[in-house]
Amino acid sequence: MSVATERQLAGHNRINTQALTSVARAAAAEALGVPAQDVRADWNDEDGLLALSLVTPIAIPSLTSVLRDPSRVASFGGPIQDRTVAAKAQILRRVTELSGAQLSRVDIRISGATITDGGRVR
Amino acid sequence: MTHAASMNEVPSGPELPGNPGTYADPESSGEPGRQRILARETTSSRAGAAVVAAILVIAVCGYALLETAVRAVGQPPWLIDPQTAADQVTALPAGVPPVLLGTVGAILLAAGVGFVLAAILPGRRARHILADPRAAVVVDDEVIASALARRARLAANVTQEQVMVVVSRREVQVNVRPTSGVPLSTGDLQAAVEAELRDMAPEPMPAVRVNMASSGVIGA
Repeated sequence: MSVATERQLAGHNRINTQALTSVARAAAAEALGVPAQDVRADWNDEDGLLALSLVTPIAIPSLTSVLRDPSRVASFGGPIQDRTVAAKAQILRRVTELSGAQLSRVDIRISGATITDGGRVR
Repeated sequence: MTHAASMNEVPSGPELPGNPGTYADPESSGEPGRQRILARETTSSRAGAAVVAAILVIAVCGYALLETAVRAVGQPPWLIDPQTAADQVTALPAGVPPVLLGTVGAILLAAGVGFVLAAILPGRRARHILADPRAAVVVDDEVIASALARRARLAANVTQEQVMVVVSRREVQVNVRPTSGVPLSTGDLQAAVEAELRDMAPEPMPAVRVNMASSGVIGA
């Protein structure tokens, strides 16, 4: 009777910066309702963990439609500040789950607004 | 640091470089002969320094002999008469420019310190001995470092550039820079490197120290 020993396979898998950046851009685009190519993502090292900084526009309803129907703001997820805070947690969870790397922080800078009327609301 | 370096395997045959006839078969092919070979391979030779020292002593004695002989025969001295030389040495600070005196003194001091250190320091080479029943095996420290670096790299799942291993006689230093977002455990890494070192069993056995860099490498 032979004992099956676990063999350690030689080899190394790496996820390069470009792939991480693409994942972060997609996650941010999903969370804020903008196209992924408008998101700029940058990685930094923070004591061995990853720190993500994003510069991105955010999707908002047009002011005329808000004037017509004030509940539009709530259906988009509330004020921009609140949505950004919520997006942070969502992006952190999503990137961690997709890349397997541990993130220590997500910084978001909103660089503009894209007006989407009648678009799908998350 | 993962150099591929040469591995020296020294057969414990009857031949010893330099004087094949001196060591008879039963002595040099057995355990004492192997010990001698291992000692020769793990320490550096002092032959160079000994030859230089001998040549210097011979030159000085030869010149003294020449001058003494020239004086005994009654001829004029070749460079300097022994009596005059001795007088000048006893009256030394006088008659020689201080700068020249200082320079010569410094050169003599440096040479003396060099010879003394060469004589009393152990003169160990960066090598370890591996136990083997049939042959005397000597391994360069770079080879051990390379093997340990490979093991550490596998254990930590990082790229080659993130691991650097320095092997000295009594200590193995494993420097690892983790991948950002993938924390590593120092204990696991230490255990892996120690297991590899135990399998290798170099003599003397170094202790393992793992240094984990605080910052990571992004996307590696």
